[in-house]
Amino acid sequence: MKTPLTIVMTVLLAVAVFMDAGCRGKGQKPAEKVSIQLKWVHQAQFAGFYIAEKNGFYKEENIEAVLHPGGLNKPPDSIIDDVASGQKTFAVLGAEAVLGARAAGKPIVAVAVIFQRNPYVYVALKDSKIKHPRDFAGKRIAVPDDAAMLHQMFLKKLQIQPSSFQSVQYERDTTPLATGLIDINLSYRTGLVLDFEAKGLVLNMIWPDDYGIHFYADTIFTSHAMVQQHPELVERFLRATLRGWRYAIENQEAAVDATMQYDPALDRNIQQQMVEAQTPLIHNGETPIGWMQESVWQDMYERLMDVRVLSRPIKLEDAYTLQFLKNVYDKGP
Amino acid sequence: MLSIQKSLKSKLLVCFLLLTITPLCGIGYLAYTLGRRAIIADVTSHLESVAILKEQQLNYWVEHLKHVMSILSLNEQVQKQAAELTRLTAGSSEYRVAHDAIAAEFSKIESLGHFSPVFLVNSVSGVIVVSSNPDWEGKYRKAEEYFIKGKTQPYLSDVFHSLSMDQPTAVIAMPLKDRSGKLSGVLAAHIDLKILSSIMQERSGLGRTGETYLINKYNLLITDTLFAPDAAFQKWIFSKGAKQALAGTAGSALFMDYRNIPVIGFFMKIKQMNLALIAKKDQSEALASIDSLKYNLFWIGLGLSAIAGLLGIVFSRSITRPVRELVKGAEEIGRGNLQHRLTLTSRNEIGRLATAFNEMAEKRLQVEEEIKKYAARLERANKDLEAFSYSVSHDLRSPLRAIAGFAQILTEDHADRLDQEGNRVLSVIIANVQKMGQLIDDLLTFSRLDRKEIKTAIVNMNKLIDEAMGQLQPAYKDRNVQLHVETVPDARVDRAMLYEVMTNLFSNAIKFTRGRNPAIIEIGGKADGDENIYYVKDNGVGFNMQYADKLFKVFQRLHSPRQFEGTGVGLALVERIIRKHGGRVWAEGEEEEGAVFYFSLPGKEKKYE
Repeated sequence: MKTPLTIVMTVLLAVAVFMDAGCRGKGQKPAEKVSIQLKWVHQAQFAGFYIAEKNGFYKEENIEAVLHPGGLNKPPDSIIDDVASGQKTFAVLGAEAVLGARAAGKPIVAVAVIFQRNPYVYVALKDSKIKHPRDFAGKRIAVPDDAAMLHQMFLKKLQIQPSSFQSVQYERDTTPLATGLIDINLSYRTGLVLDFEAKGLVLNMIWPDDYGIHFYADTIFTSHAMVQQHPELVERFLRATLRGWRYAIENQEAAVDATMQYDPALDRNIQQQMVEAQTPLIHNGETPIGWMQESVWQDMYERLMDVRVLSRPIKLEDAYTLQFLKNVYDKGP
Repeated sequence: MLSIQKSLKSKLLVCFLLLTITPLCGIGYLAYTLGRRAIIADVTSHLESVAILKEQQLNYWVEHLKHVMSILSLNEQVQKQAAELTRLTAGSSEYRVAHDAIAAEFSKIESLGHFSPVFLVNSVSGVIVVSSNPDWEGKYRKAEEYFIKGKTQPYLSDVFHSLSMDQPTAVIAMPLKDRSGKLSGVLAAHIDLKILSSIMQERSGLGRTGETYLINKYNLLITDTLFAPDAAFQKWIFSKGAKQALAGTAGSALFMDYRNIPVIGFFMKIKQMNLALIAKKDQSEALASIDSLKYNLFWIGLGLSAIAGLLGIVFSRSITRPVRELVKGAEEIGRGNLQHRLTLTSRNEIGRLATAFNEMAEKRLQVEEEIKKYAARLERANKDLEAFSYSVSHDLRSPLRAIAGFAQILTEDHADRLDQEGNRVLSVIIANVQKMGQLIDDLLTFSRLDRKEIKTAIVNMNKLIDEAMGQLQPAYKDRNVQLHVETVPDARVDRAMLYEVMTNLFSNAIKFTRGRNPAIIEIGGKADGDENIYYVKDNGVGFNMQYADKLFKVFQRLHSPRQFEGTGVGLALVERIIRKHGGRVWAEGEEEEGAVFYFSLPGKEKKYE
């Protein structure tokens, strides 16, 4: 049956297939590599990123994303330097770090805020009857180093004298509060607070947010150069990331699964509780996911200037841009 | 025969199927689409009325809440004490009294349900100064939109998730003024959204899958739904209905809902709350009845098609069997077996056709027998006639030869005994005997032709013409004759016969040009369509076209024998030979101007090499 005609047909078919493959290869550029430096070790705090990667949302935007966990050996300053120098494409840090870096002359720009509400919350045992900042007087309060600035702003806002209470050493442990060694612990809602809850302790929570301290937590930022030179890559990355976050909130089991894939050693229960606890911090229905408000940035800036954390005044509008969020949401999901 | 039967059968079968299925499909389609449309319209209007009802309930509820709050804002005690609070220093006993008085009123309002907590915000600092929940006092609301807007007018916030309450809520806020109209604070209250959900989740007879839900301007679901009971604030809905409702269009559509399942939906925007309301029902439930109709129609159609198919087979058999018989019989008769008769007894058209066919065969048989008889008779008569003419001419020759012989003896041996007149008469006798002999010879040739079989071969006509001319050469060698012979096409003919034709026509031409100086004779021919036409043209005495039809009849002559000798057989012979070859002869001429004799032969023969 190997007539010349069948051979010709076979060859033509092969050529067609080859050319088709060739065209496709040409039509789509190779995936652009993007690295993301996370603020802390792998955990559900970054579930949206994991989902965007695992579910192929980055891939759909023709992005090859690599997520780098943070940790004690990755202090905020080095993360900022990595992004400013272009070693990492994006990173996640608290908004105060972004403003601090701008004041230090580092060319970085915030493009979205994942944690709209700051997870730091003052907790006290329910039985202590401490429900209000005015109850702080004469109490023993433990504050972690990285929340010191927030604490300072809180006290200033509410005109509480640091001398009116007793500052004690913070330990990332439930024992001091549980045993009454301290009265108040400024702790991470999705960290130590989960440990308290896991121990069955009933807590009163005093949210700085409730007292006019709106301070963005996990903020995605990139370098000024990226914003200038590759705006559409930033937009694509953001679209995939925000989609990942929306998916993570809609499918919390999947969010936990994705997290566990990044670090199988994690306690699944804790990750589940983390996902539940962080959802209202990420979005409360007042804005779309990732959104940033000028008034909040302004407020944060003023407050940081107020407590003299920033070394010098900055042009606030250079520190963040709404351009990408607007594009992402204008185009719709 | 088989193919006829096959194609007829399949055509009939297809015909039957089409006749049953086409109307069924048409009616089925019509019934289905009309039914479906009616059901969709029905469901849509139900959804719409439910949605409007819910909108009214929501609006009524919101109005009621605003009403309660405005009553509170008009409460003299509250107005008075709030004004006091702005004046007094916090912590003083008078301040405490005023505070407690307001708190008492707030608690009353809270106890009505709907609101928790109810609070008063200092219009300058934005700090909560009085709350039905004392824990809330001291909280900051300065940046909240409801505080900013609530200073000037009643304001209903968007639905949001409150961290303090750890649940979704909305806030109604309005300015609280003293008697003089001076702003003494913003009165605000959190709304218990459970009522919102319960209004939405009341099923209102929407069946198993029908439901209504609300989404905010960011497509976020804010009430629980039937199929995602805990999805409030944790699900974004981007269905077509959601998008259109948020765009401000009210209407209905078929679209995929949040589970990616096709639904019939009605959607509208609730302006007062800046929310979109969607009422929907699964198409699978709404259209269950029409879908079952679809399946029923399908099965009925299938059943009917099967029946139609069977009937079609039976009917087509009943039609094709006699047709097959008919064809078989007709073919048998066609093959020449006229004795064959069709054995169809049915009384329908086919039966009648068979009868007619049989009658026709019968008639043909009779006719054929008659023809046979007639032909036999004719043949016999012909043979008799031929024998007669042959024997006549043959038998006539011997007495004629005797007459000629004795007449010869008379002239040779006894001429001197006869006087001059006797000798003249004797020479007349001899001449007439010669003429009669020629006549008899011609007649014999002519009658022999009838019995002669023609044997054809491809003949080079030019060669044949040359031979004929050569043979006749002695007849004109003393005359001035110009011969023009064209190259003519070859033909498949009996050579001897055609030689006869050519010598006849050529000798005629020689004969009738006697006296012409010069005599011009032209012979030509060419292929014309599927025949070859040859001619012999002369410039002789010609003839009157009036008599053209007599030219080729035997013994017919246009000139007296004294003018031109001849028996009147030559052209008749030519005509007979050419006709035997399947050709025709004709002539054109004019008196004293010459004549052209044409004959045609079947052509399309290749040039003979």
